[in-house]
Amino acid sequence: MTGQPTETARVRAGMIFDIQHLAVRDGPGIRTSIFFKGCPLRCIWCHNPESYLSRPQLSVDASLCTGCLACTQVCPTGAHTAAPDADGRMAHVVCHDKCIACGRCLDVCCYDALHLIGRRRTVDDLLEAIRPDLPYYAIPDRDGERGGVTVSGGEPMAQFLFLKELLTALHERGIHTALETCGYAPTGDYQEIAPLVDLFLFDYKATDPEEHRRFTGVDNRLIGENLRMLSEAGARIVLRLPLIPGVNDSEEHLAGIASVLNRHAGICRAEIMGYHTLGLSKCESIGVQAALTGIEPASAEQKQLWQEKITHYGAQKPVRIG
Amino acid sequence: MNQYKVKHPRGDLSFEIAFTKAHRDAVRQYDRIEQIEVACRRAQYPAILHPVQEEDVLAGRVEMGYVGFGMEHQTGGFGFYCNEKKLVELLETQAGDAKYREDVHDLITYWKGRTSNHILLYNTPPEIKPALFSDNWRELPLPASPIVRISGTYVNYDKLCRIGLNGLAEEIRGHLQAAQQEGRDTVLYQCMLDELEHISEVCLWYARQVEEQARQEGDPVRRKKLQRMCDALNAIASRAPQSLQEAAQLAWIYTIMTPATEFGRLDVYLGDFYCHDVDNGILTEEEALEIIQSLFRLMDSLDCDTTGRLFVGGYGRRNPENADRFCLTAIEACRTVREILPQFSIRFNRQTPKEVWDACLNCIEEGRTYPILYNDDVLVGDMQKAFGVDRALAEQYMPLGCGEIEFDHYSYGTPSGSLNCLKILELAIRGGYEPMTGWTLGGDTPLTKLVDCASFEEFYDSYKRLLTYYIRAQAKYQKYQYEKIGTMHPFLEASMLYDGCLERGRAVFDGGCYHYGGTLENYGNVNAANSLAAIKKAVFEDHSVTAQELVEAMDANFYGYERVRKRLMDCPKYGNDDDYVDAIFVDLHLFISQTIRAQAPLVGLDSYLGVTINNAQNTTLGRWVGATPDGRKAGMPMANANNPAPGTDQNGLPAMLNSLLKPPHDVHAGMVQNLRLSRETFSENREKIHGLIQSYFDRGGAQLMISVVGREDLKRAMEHPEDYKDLIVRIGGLSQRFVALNKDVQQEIYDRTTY
Repeated sequence: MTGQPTETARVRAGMIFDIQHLAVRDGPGIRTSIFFKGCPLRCIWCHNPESYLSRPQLSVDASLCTGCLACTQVCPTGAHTAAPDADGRMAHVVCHDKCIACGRCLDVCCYDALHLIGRRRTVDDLLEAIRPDLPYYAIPDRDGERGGVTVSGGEPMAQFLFLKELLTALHERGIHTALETCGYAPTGDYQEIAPLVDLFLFDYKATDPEEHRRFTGVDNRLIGENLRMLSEAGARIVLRLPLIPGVNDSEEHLAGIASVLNRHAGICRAEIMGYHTLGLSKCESIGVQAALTGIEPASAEQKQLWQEKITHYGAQKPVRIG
Repeated sequence: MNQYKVKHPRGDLSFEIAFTKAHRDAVRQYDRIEQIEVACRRAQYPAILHPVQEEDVLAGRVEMGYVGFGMEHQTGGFGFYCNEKKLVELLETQAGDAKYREDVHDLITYWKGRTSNHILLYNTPPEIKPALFSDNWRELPLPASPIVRISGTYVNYDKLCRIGLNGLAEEIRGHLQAAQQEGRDTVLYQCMLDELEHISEVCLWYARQVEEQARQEGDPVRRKKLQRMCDALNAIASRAPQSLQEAAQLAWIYTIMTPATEFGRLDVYLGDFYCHDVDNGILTEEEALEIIQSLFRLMDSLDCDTTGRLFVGGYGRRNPENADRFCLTAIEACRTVREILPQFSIRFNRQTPKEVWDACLNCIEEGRTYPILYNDDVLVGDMQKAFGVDRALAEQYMPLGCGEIEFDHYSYGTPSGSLNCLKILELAIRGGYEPMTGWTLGGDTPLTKLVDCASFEEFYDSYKRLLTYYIRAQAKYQKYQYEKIGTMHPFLEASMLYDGCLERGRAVFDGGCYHYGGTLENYGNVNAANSLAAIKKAVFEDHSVTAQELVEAMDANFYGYERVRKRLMDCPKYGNDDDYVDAIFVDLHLFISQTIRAQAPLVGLDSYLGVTINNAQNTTLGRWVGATPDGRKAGMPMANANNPAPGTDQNGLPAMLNSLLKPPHDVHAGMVQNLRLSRETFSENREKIHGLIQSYFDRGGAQLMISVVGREDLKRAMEHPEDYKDLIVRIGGLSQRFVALNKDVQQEIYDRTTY
């Protein structure tokens, strides 16, 4: 036996950072969204910066901290320290770089100011977490479609073996599955996972390869190839369009979207995901510098304008505002 | 104190002085309570009535006095009442000559020992007093309190509208003659006839006023409406109503003269008139709507915010087709008259037409919080079991006030007491000792302090004994109250239109009514269940907190015991579909409900049932409960009704709804639940939210009150986050609790909806 897990081996746990109940935007019907931690991309507009790294991270809500300094007493690495503030009082200071996410500070914080983002969870654990939501999956939406589980992230494909185990378990139970993906994973993995996914929510972020690299850190050729392969393999795909005003909403990209929509038979529609600033405060709480600041959230008019333009460029499939 | 919506409120106390004189004269002149009531009613009506206002197409605006005759707290006061506090305030601040001041002094001293409230409380039987020694629940740490009142008068509006005042008089004359022939007492019947005459006179009094207003009216459209009002008022004084205008007018005049604050099954008693008028071109749809809107505004003018119920829909209607047509117009009136009252409620079931259901949800979506939804397919069967009545009667179930269930013009279900389950738990932990006052409570109930308990079960049993002690006292009080009121007040208007009274020749609380039910309001039971779960888990299972530490932490309100509090907070909480604590909640709920229910035959009531309802007492009573084992700090509000304690439902809406579905409903007389959704969540996902609500009801949900909040609420939520812990908002691709977001994100979402 080698240390490598085989096809049939049970992967013990996945790194999960959030579960949203009553998710009504991530696919049809009423859903539970499970967020995987870790992502190969670094989109400058990312609204889930806590999902970048595949390891657990400390999150500090400074507004709840009372400055009791209990965390400084138990921290083994000096991530929590006390330093005089402007008035000369000893105040709580966090150095995220020193944190090893051991969680000891959580046990002593009585004010709910500290959290660990990311927990290893087994498939059984996740099945238990979605249990309360099961009766609600049967409720049809305006298209007559029913709900289920959406796996999101981060990038779920980055934890492929665990993802496969989870999707298999969901499929065995007849639960509708949707996979939200950036498209950046080995094509063979997508081929293998496709039969377990009822709906792909496939991100389309930039048309020009250079721009794609600039905005996300990676080239888009592999992503394009995976999209083509999935479409040809008969997968059902919704193209998800994160659009950031003045960043990736060029005429060329909007035209590119229309062309991609028409080119791939598997894509049933596109959904515009307008930029919002939720990610900025998350950056602060985990001690990360936001890559993109000073951008106003996309207005309703702006989203409508994008929608009209994509249609104007000849899109022959519905473009919805998500 | 109600703020009656009348254009020109009375400026002095001349009504109160005249009413007091009338009462003084009446008790000298008459020896029968029926005759005294008639004399006092004549002093009160039409003296407290106000003119028709420009927006009214129905007559009947009322301003109850600071002294007067009512039925409930929400009608000025209960029985003969006196708002002493207000009178003293006016005496100290208001101008008036020497004679006037002398009269005001007179009425304050006259009523001091004569109000119905005082007489009832003063005569409380001595065996109840040790348990229920005060009704001052606002200011004292009481584990249980009597509530001196009658509530939930639902008169038979349908009968009234079908036979009119003269038809009713004819029926009473028949009973009177029979009584005379059999040599029975006839005073009650005679006084009822006097009162019907009195109501006719008030109709004619308004008719003359409206006629004069019509004469002076320059606008021909308004003049025509005033003429129609005048004709209706004249007609109903002497014959049964024949149109929507007449029926609504008669029902309203009768309501304010009862005086009642519950408005019955509106679609049953107005539905036929509505369809008749619209189908025969007597009224256009718009004119019919205007009449209902006017009726709703008049209901709102009573300012009785915890009562003021009306119902549409449901099983047991004699005219479902007409009633359902009326429903749609009534819902439209509810949607467009954007006031607090009436508390528009619908009973729905499998047969409810889709367009009625959709209209309800659209009205809710607009943030009206109405209609309040009641699921007949669950409640009819469950109420049949809870009350032990047949299906036909169960189909006439009617929630009153905050949601206590009784039967339309058949039974009373007055909640005459409250039980603070969390306070009782706090006492049980300390063996009956109340730390704020130093009282030792609980009589001779054998109690074991938590620190002396060897097991969770031992403590739970001790707690149950203390609950039982208060429940028994409350049941006795309920029975005493009905009996005593029977000797004090015939409440003639209610008696004429309550089943049984005419046949039996007895007033409604003097043996006339067929079913004397009582209800006991439970508060704090969700926090109590959470506290029991924390005690069970942290003290007896995990041993992470000792009983001694827990009590010390409670004594210190957790100051210096933050770690203990954290461990307690980490224990399972009701509202997350967690079976550990939900099972405790259900067990406690069943114990309380069954213990209450078992008292009825012991004290001689037809039913006595618990209610877990919804008003502000979860906050008011919470003020006098110290820190509790669920981690709640001293004085903080308790959870509202059957909802999770604020901030403790962290597992999503589906899980919260699943928890709400667990307690059974066939052992109590009402349990309400709130659901607050953001406008964006509701309107952008209409089908999904409709489906969510439908699914909840399909799986046994009995009741739901849905608030959809708009932008103003977001602003208030930022200023008072503690009141908005369950407000869910859309951010982009996800839903979040609004108050859990950082302040800047909150501001962003608030700003976004500005444009």
